[in-house]
Amino acid sequence: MISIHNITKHYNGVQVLHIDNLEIKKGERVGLVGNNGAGKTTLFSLMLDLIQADTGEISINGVKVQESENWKYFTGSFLDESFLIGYLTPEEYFYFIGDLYGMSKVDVDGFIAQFAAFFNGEILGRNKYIRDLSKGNQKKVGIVGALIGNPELLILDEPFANLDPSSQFRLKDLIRQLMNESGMTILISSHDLSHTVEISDRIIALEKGKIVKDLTTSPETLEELTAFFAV
Amino acid sequence: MFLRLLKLEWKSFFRSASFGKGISVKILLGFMGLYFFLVFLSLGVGLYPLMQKIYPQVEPILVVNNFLLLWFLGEFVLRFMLQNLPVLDIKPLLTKRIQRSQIIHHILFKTSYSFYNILTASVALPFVVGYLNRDSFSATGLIAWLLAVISIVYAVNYFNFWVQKRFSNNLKALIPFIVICSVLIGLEYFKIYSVSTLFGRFFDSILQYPLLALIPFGLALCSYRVTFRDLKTNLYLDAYLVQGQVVQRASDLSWTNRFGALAPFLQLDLKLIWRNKRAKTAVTMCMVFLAYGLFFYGNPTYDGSGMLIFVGVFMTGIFVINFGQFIPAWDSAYFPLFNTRPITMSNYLESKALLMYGSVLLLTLLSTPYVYFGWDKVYVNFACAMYNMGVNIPVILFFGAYNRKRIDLSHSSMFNYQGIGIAQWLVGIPLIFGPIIIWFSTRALINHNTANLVLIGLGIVGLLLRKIILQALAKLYKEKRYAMLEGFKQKD
Repeated sequence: MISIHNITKHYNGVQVLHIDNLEIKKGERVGLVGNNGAGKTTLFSLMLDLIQADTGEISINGVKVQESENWKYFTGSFLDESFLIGYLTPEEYFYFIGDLYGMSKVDVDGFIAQFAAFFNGEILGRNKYIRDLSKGNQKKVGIVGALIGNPELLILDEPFANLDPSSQFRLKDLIRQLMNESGMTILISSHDLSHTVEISDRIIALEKGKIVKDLTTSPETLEELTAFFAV
Repeated sequence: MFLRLLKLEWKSFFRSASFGKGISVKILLGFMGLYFFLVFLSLGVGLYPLMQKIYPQVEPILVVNNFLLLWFLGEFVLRFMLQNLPVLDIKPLLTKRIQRSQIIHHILFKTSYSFYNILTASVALPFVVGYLNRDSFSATGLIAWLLAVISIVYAVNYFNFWVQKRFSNNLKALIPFIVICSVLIGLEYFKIYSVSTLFGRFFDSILQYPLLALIPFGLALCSYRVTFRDLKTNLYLDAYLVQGQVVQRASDLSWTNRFGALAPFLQLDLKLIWRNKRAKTAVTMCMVFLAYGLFFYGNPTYDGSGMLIFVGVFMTGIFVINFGQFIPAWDSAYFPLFNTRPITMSNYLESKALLMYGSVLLLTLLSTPYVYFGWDKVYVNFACAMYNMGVNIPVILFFGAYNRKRIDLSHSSMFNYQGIGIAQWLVGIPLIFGPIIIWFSTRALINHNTANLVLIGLGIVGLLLRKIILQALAKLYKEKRYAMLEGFKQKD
């Protein structure tokens, strides 16, 4: 699904990312862990063609992201609030994104109805602009927005941050369900080791821009990661 | 403590992200301020002879007194619209070990040396100094008069904040005041009873009995006290510190569906304009500029000059200039979304162009009453409108590709230079001077009518080639996308 070759990225002469080779297969659930500044968001931004790599290339489904926009039709993503349109209500935002995938209002309404539990009654029909929602609720809007259009690849940056405990559980269930039902490839970054281990079947740890661990999840993974990050 | 707060102020000024970049803008604003200061100062100096000339029988200061109320009312309205109390800046201080009242004294004190307070004083001071040399009134009386005027200025200063805070969320509560004001203005107008004369009489008597100046002085103290207490009881996150949450209005924009793939973008743009202060101001300005023709059409010196083109391009294209120059920065806050979703750049640009075509049509229609000044004016405006649509819109979109400045939509655009870079200054030159030069040289070489036709022709060519131009622009935007994304990330 995704192949990364010889990617490097520098800011002001400092190398922030260097990945020689990384292949992510279709249907994999990949958790990306690492401390602040490890390069998680940089890697995501490169995959989504939001920044330019200094060397190397990234392809999704065999097409280089820099050259073709094809990947946009099957990739859903939510990195931060710059993926939200603050002056729209959540409904209007979903309709707008649905429009881009040729979904009618009715289609979108039907689609978002399944997230009623995740929204916990705080998102829909509240007549509030997204910019006036709390950070956690904005995150929920962004995550569901990323799911519109039934993407084959889902990229989420720190989806658990700012979410309340119940929503964290609901999100985990949601991701599992998506995996089982649609075979979606999922890439998630997180600071929370246990959440990541719970939902991923492959964990990649980044440190200072390099891959330091690439594990298939097993009962010992959490221990191994905890030992690695403990100070 | 007070000093420490002042120090904080100093740092926030010099360390603000826009300080280095916006220095030229600050200098410009500084010059504007100096200009106004000098204008008011010379008004103060020239007030005595001026009044003497207009009302030769009456002592000038007595005439001035009669206009004082009107002056203060104007000052109040101006402040109400432009001057804000920066209460949000103090949010981080509230939980620190500083007395609440000290913080409030600090922000109120800060407004005391605002530019608005100096303006009236800069008129009154030279006026009074000029009077001191004449023996008409005692020095104590004149100084008391000055004190009274400055006191009222400060009363207006603090009273303005109180009114703003009190009524900004509840404009209906202002209705009684507006009714009272209208009644008083009505009484004044029909010469039944004049409040401004009463107010003036009071100032007349200050000149006689200087101690009366204590009343306005007390009023100033009172207004400070009232504002202080009001702030103190309301300086909470759910009161004055709440950052305006607006309940959304349902808007039915389904009529845009006829534009097919462009509809979602058009709807988004209309909501952008309607729901964001900055964009809204840009549109309101268009209505103001429609009156631009009045300054020129009545004046025979401009008849048949290049000025008509200037006015025509401006009136029919003000939205193109005001809104267009910030494409794509209007969408800067969510530009990454646009770059990760299946949005074709040419659709995006075409919807922006469509919006601008619509604005040109509407503004041209609205400017047709200028037919009063002659058919030739409407004809020239029509030529300018065609040129705006065919040529200026592509030009402004072209410059947009070099736009790297983020716009914060929630700020109003009055005196707001955020998002203005070198490209925005340059863009005005071809937009306005291009058609003037073309029109003028054709008119000089051939004739008036051909000059108009050339503008129309250029517009038609531009409209016919629209698709090709937009495709080329879309390609350019795509090439520049990384620089845009990078620039739009930078918050001031």
